[in-house]
Amino acid sequence: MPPPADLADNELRRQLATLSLSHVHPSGAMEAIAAASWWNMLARLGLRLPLVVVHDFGLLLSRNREGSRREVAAAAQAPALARYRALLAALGSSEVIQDLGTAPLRDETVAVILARLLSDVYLRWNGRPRASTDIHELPMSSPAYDGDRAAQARELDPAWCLPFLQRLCEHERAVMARLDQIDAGVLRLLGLFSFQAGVSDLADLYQVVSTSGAADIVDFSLQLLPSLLETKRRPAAQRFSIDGYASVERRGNLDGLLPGELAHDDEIFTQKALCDDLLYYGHERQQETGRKLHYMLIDASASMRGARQVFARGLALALSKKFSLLGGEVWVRFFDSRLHERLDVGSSARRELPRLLSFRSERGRNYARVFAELAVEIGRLRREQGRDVALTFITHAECHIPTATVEALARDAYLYGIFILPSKPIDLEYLTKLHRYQVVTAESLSRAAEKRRRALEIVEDVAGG
Amino acid sequence: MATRDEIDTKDRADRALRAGRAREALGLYATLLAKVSVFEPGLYESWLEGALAAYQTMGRNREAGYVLLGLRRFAEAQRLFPVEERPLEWALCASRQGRHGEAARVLAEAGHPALAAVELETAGAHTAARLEWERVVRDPRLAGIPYETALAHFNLGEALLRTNDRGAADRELTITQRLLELLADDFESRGERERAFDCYSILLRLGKDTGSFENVAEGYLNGIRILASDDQKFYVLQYYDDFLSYAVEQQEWYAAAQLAREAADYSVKAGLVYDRYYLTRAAELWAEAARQNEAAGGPTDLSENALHAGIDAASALGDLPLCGRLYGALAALPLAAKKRTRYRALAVRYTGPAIELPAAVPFPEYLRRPGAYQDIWRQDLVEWELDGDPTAVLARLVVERTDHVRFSRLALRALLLCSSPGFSRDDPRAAADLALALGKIQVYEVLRPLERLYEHSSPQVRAAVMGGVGQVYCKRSFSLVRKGLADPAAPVHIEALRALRGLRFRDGFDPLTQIFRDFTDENIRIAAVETIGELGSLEAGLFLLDTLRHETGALRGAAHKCLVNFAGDDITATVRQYLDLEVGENREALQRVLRSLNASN
Repeated sequence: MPPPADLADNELRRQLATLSLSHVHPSGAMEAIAAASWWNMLARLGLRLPLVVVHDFGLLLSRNREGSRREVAAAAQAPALARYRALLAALGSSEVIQDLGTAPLRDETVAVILARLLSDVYLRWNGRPRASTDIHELPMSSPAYDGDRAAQARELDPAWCLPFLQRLCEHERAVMARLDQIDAGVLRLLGLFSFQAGVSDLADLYQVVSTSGAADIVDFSLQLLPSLLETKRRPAAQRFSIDGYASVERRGNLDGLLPGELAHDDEIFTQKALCDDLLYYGHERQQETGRKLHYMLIDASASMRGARQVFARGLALALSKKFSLLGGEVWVRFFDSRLHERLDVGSSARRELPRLLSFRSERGRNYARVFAELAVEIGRLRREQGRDVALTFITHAECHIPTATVEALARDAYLYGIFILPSKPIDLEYLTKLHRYQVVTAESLSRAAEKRRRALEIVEDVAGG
Repeated sequence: MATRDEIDTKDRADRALRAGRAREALGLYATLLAKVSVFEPGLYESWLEGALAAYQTMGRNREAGYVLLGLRRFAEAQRLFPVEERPLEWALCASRQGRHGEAARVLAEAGHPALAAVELETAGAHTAARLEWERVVRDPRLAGIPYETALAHFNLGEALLRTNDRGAADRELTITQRLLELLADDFESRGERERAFDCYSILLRLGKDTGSFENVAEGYLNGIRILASDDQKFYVLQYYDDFLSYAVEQQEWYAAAQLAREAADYSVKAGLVYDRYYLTRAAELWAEAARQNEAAGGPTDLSENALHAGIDAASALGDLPLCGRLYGALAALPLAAKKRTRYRALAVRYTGPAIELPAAVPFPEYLRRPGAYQDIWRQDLVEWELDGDPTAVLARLVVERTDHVRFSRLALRALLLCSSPGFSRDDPRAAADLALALGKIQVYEVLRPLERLYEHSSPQVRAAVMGGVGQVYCKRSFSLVRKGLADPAAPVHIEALRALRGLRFRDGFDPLTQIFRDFTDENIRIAAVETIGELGSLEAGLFLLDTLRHETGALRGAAHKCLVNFAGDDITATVRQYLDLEVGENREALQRVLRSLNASN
């Protein structure tokens, strides 16, 4: 239930009153609105900072965005705020801020960087609002934005945020150290994404930037990309009477019939024709990929924790790219005890990437259920839509699926299993029912070149299926 | 020191006994035995000796045997239990005398293969134990009860591992794993998180038994997730700490480093002081992950990212010299020149003498809970096998709950009650007395017998079950209370309401809120609010604030009253927050709450 509008207005006025303590100028209604927008995003990430901090830090981060140079005030408004002003000055003159200033940053990026800079201090601040059931978004349209800040401060004393400013100043070096960590790597990751500014997008993005494994996944996938980009669509044979001959086929038109077939007597010819036993020349054509569906499942359960997760997702990213290049549709889904929503990695890869990198399971496993549901879905795709499905699942060595389910799946799809880093010899009863499978062992990943070679081998093998 | 009254009563009882008035003596001893919280050495035992003599004089050997169990004189007790009539008690005595094989034989013949198997394992007779577990697996009573079936397969799997039959063990453990996955998912979907937790505990054990890190991770991380959602802070940290050690032992560096970081984040969120320790561990472990990767000739970017994660932890810690050292390690990696130059500059910027930081306090030993890892795969199967038979459950409690002598004494009193010659469970009054006596013991084990008694046709008994269960502070108690609240008999409903008000313990928050949501009867909902009001936790405070702000009438009034008298975690900051946001009636109510809270602080 959204909070009533008057509650949100009250919160806005309380927050705007803190801008009377701002030390970044110039600042008017537009800057306040921008700060409120960042504040809302931070609130979605669980950080409900005083607006003045969001405003001052945010404006410094994005100061080249609208072409207007914002500056830190030359002097502090009050002696108690001198240290805060000095912190802002140090921030404004840092290399990272200078570098960031050369390129415009999106609001989401600003919010995520602010979260990175300030979350340590915020989360250890005793005065932070404790667990709350309401999320109060600040309204983006209100006459209060044009109000006089001094008057707003007189109406609602902003002193409540001073302990946070003090704490921030006490941890100045830690904040600056955080800033130094925002390097090209983080920005490169951010550059890979596109946004629709939803809550989950933002949370995923923050998760990506805060999670060490995400960078590994991207790095791992990027290592494979040059090889994957060499992928060419393979030619195939067709029955229409165009282009050159490419093959001998069991089906075709009369004009493609092998001359030798006409040498049979009438009875044998008729029998062979009825049994589809006649041979025809096939013509070269592009592969029929329109109905091909590459369905990829990535195990997100707690069992994948650590290096398994990095390799599984990196491999999934690379495979998605490979399948896209080969043509056909690519579906990616995470699974644990549920099949999670489909990620459209084929056509909206940039939008889906944060989720792919940072998806975190909040459930246990239930492979019997997941694969039974999948068998029903794939059966339907094949029967009702005539889809040609290739199902690849990336999991661990304890993924026990009932054999009957695997058999059902193998009837309707090309079934490929990839088992990452088994901690003991793999012993899954259904392995022989899969069309193919690969086991990625720790030994095969120990050397950089070997890891890449092994990964490419898997990608090629899966794609070849 | 015994009181004057106790000495007099004992004297009178002894005199009556000597005069051949055993019945009168027994009554007096029973009065004394009701004082279960007497801890003067030898005093309670002297009363037991008196009761024993009285029983023996009256020829009530079975009860005398139970008293001897309480006195821990198992050889004498055993002689009073004919093996054909009381095999379980006989075996209990044999077991306590170290004669596990004999105990197992009798238990097996009496249709208790699980108990027999446990005895055989204690005796080290693993092959024989395996046969008993096989009997359990084949037991037709397991049909349709998947949880107990999973436990049976698990126990058999472990037995097969002990007899080195690896292939068969793997088959049994695979069945166990599949069943547990299904069950945990079902339990969680139905909101029975503590039962899902049990499943994950077994998966954890299964993983350790078979050397499967994947299963250990599944067990620990899902266990942590459930414990965290129940706000079991110290259990969560103990689990994190233990899993961290296991991951390091298994050289799963990535997982270990991630866990340390998560433990630190959790500690901060929970308001505990261990974050600095876990951040230090995370920084160390990421550095170790990078080192190991380099040593194995792994990709440099993996080392680079690991060191970045280490710097992330170090800067959260405020340990800038450590950041400097890790930047130094980054600069030493075979990276592009531009990167190395930057890392070198950062290393110089942060390197300096060690700075004085607040102490990094590790999770202390004294906060480790001894009950964090229970062998529920045994306990729950034994519960199934005894099927709520009060005599069997109570006899075991008398013998085994020596950690809390009060529980053992209360169990003995209940046992004597249901063993007296005139006792019949068909008699509503007797069954009701038993229900109350069971409830007084207040341990988890009595819940199954209470659940069985609730099946009684007499409302008097069902009402007494409510009276009993209202004293057992376990989440499972709420499922009986819910039945009582929906019971068509008014006395049962009234007692269930009373039980609901009695179950005031912090872990009860979730079941209480569930009752608040599920029932429409206003009296029940008010009782739930008032009980939550007594919990004193932050989440209880937030619940009351929400009820005050969003409900009306008597419910709102109840929440307001609870908030005004709220004692426990400090909720004033949250009330102030809401005060800034609320208007009208709600604002006035919050002002009253804040005034009251400030006055009481």
